[in-house]
Amino acid sequence: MTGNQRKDQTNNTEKEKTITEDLFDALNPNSMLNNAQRVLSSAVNVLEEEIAAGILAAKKIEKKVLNVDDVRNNPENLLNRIRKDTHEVVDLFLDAAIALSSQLKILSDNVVTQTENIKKPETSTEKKQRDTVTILQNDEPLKPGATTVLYMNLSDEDATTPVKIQLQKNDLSGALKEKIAARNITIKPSIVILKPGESKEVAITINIPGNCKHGHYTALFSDIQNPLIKAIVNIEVA
Amino acid sequence: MYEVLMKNMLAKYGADTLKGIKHFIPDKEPRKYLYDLIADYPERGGKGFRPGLCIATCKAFGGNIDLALNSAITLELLHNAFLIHDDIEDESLSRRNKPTMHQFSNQAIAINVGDAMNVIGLYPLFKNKEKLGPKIAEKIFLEIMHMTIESVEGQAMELGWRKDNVCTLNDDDYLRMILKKTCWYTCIHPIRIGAIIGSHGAVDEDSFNRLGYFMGTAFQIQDDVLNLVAEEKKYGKEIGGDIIEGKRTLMLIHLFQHCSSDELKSIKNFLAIPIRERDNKTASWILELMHKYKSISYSKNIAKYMAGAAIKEFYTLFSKLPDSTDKSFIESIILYMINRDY
Repeated sequence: MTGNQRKDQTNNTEKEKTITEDLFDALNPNSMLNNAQRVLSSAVNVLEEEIAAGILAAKKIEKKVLNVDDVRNNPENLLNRIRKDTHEVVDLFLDAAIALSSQLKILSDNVVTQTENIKKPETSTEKKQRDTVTILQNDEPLKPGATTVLYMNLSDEDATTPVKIQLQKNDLSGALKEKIAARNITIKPSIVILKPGESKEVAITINIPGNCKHGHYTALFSDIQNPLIKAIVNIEVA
Repeated sequence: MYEVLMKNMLAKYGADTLKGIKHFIPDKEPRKYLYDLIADYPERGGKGFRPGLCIATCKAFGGNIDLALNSAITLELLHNAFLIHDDIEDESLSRRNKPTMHQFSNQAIAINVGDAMNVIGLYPLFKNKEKLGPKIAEKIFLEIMHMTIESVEGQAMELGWRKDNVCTLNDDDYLRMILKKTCWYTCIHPIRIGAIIGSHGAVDEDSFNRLGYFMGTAFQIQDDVLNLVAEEKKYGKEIGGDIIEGKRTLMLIHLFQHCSSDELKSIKNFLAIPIRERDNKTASWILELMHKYKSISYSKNIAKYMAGAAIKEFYTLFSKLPDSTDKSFIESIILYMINRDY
């Protein structure tokens, strides 16, 4: 029996009663007791139904949030995503460690190679260049779409002949796999000829792409011929 | 005797709660159209039924007012926020003998004040952690959440009936709507919360559901009867306002079931037009029909059955507790409902 059918039947039964019958009912203690019992019984049923409905709804919500089977089986699930992200972070850390050790190996190889190949006393400039790395960075965080110019001063105090310097530009790397591609960077002049005792300035212009994500971006720029002439470029996008 | 006790205790706990509400209102701008208005409804002197029940139950179960006060403040703030929004939804003109907030201000400001009260009502719950510990505080937070959800669901039921002009309702529909819209937040949860706090979480809070439900239903039916038969000044709202608003009271539902088909058609036509276009003459005719078909006396009886069932539940649950003024106070509320002659 549907709820509506039940309603109709109740209505019809009640409508059949006359006012006199209602009055008589009101004076009849048995009828009053029956009415009270009927209403209270209905009330208790309604209460139990509503509590059950509430418990069911709450369980469904809990299940949506915490169903372990769903979490494990569904690749789109929040916890799986967290687990995946954790793997990615570990992978990234390993990549960074490998890159760092590779970089150290290249640097040490270079040092060894140069020591072996050159086999001449180190000039003070070379020693200074190996010991110190120029860091070029912006004073204020840059917005996506902005342009910045960083200046680097080049000199070789010990040179007795002209020296040619050509800085090799690289992609700027940010957190995770974000990059500012090298094509957004221009170095002017691209080739610098330094006479003995001369110093010259190069301008490194970086265009921040409009869709660039916030964070720090870093790259190592070094001379094609002499890797000891190098600078770390570090910019912040915010 | 019990009426004096009931009124005195309600006044005392109401005053303590009002003081607490003011403590949580930010002392800063914008005052005129926000913070000054938050205490407006609570200061109009409502019954203070919810905080009274919460505090008294807490004390009856061995706690003290200090432990229950934050929860009582939340209950009263949320209740008054509901009233502000209800007055807009119902297009009511007066509340506790004064113009409703949207009448003396405007709807936008009144809605915003209600929103602010709902948010400010969360802070005392957060502060519960300091007095009751995280476990009980979390439990009470969930009680309030359930209470609020049930209330808005109940309100949605009734607003839906009014929007769709549903006139085929029966007692069960009414009992379900009133459980959700009124009973959880007027009686069931205030009692449950008070008992949880007073017993340090040792009670089975579900055992109070029937007591609160029976009390709440009796309370609401009697309040709806008063809307039809009381003196306006004493009642504080426009008499017969519920008929104009088309509120699905037990009396109106009883009338739907018992009037002639022609009368039902006329009532339905009246309820189909916008509230402000409904005339007092037809509303008075509907009130006459409620008397003619004994809808009011039927509802009064139902309220008394409910109050009778509530006192039975009360004795079952509270008889094991030591006698106290607070225990007598809760009993007096139920006895007042049983013996009420309007």
